[in-house]
Amino acid sequence: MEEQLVIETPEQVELSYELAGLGSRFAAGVIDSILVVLVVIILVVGLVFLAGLSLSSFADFFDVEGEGGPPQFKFRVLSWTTALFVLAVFAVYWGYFFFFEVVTNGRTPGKKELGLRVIRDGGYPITVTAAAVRNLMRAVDALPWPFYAVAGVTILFSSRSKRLGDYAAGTVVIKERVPDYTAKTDKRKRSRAQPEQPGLAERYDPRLSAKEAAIVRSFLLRRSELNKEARERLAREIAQPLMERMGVQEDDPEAFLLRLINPPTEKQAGPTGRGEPPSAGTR
Amino acid sequence: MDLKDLIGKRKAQWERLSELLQRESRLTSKRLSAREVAEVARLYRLAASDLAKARLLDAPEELIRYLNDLVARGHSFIYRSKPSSWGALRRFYGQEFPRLLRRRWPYVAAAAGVFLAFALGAFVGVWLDSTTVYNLLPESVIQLVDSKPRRQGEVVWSENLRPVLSSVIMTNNIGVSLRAYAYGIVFGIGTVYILAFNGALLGALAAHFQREGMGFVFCSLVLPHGVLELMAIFVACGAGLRLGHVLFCPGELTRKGALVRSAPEALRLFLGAVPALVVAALIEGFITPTALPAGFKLTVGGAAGAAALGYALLVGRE
Repeated sequence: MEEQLVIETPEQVELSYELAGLGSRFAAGVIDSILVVLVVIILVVGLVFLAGLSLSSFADFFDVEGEGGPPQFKFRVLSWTTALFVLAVFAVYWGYFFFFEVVTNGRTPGKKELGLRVIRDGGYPITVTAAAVRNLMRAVDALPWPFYAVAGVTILFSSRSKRLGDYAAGTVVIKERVPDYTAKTDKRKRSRAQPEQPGLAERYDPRLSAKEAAIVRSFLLRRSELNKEARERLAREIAQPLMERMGVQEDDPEAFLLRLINPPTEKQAGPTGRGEPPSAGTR
Repeated sequence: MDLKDLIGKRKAQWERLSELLQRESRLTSKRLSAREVAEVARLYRLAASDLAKARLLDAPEELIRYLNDLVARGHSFIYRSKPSSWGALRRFYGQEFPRLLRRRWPYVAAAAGVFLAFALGAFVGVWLDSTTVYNLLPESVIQLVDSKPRRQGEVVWSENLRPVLSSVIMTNNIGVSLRAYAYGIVFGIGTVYILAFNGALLGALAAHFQREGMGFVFCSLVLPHGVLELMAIFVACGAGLRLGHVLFCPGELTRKGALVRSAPEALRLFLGAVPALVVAALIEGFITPTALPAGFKLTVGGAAGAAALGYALLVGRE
């Protein structure tokens, strides 16, 4: 089961977020780590290229002052380049996650790939301080380095899938559902949410409670996405108690559910076709 | 308003909101204009109320989920914090950090106390029994000390090596301080370990030099950068001890609450120490390992320490 984080916005509307689990966070971490390594490799290649220009007499590089004659320009260049490299690697290692979480509002490239985002406990966007705290805490979370065992264990035992850095910074990692949702659901919405939809949403057999109607309805909406077995099993499970209560016996539980939610009033002929969308009867 | 109206009327607005948010979340595309931001704010509020309505009307789960995610994305855009600026940086080092330092000085003092206690212990241990040094220091270090000629300034690095040396020291020290802060989350135990370990190392080294009759050499090797460096490390360790303390004694808060509240403050302590570590590493790379007179080096060390102390005591006073 996916775990939910429910918060209330200042507009007093409840928002629910799906918490990111260990698996997706691990995957995002792997992607980000690969990127970090790639950046470091690029830095190394750059340094080696520079060093290649002066490697012919590398021994002089370690020469003690006064013995090897005046230091040559290229060694000085090499030395400063190496120094910059050391600083750059350090900055990349500690700054990568911080930078991306600040600039892209809580998503490193890896998190973006997996559809994850870091937010603060109240549902608010991440702050610079929170990003700094949660990512410096990697010093502990990554132990034993680089296996992130501490993080893994705390995520498993935490009710909100938090690693130590998340505890200290007051953040959670959530799963943002497909960002290009509109495009994808557009078609579905057109077929479901257009004129035929209200009938489905508003009318139902008076013997049902609103809750029951909602359950039946969500089954009917989703049934085409289920495989045959699950679909039949679910229909049976939902229909059985209702049939018993109403004293009806039907062979086809799905058809029964369809009639409950779309009672054959007006000039409808009582849709019974299997696999048809609930709206079929009105067409 | 029933569901049909809701969807019919608002669909275009939801899609517009989604499109604007999408554009904002992409790094490359151009940012939203002021007018578009105002539009986002308006559309967001509409979508939020639509979400509430959709729940009330018992809309299909898909629609509720769609609206929920749309509003969530809007929420994370609307309620984000102001990005920090250079002004904030100046205010931090000009006021916030020195004040914080004066407020939290007991932690810094405690860190210094732990460090010095272990340093003293190791010093006495090695002083009394020279074989102890083999338990405390790596063999290579001992040999290095033993093999060196006994005049001051004998450890002189090639000029070419200094930038590398300095950068390695810099990243190492910042890394150690960073860990000292982060390890505080393990109830401060990790921080104490770092203090104890490094304190014992320094004490043993000092005693070994002293036994070899190179006490002054040791001072000229350590003090020029060491004064500032140790002060900075004590501050960073103070940050870790602060975390450990609130975890042990969270007072009226829950442990989690106390941690969330004090972690940013402790982070500021650590961050405040970073520039001092940079300066110390520059001294260690470019002044300590040179043939400059020992007196000059020690003066530099003393001046750096005094400047840091003055900063901590005087800057940003209310």
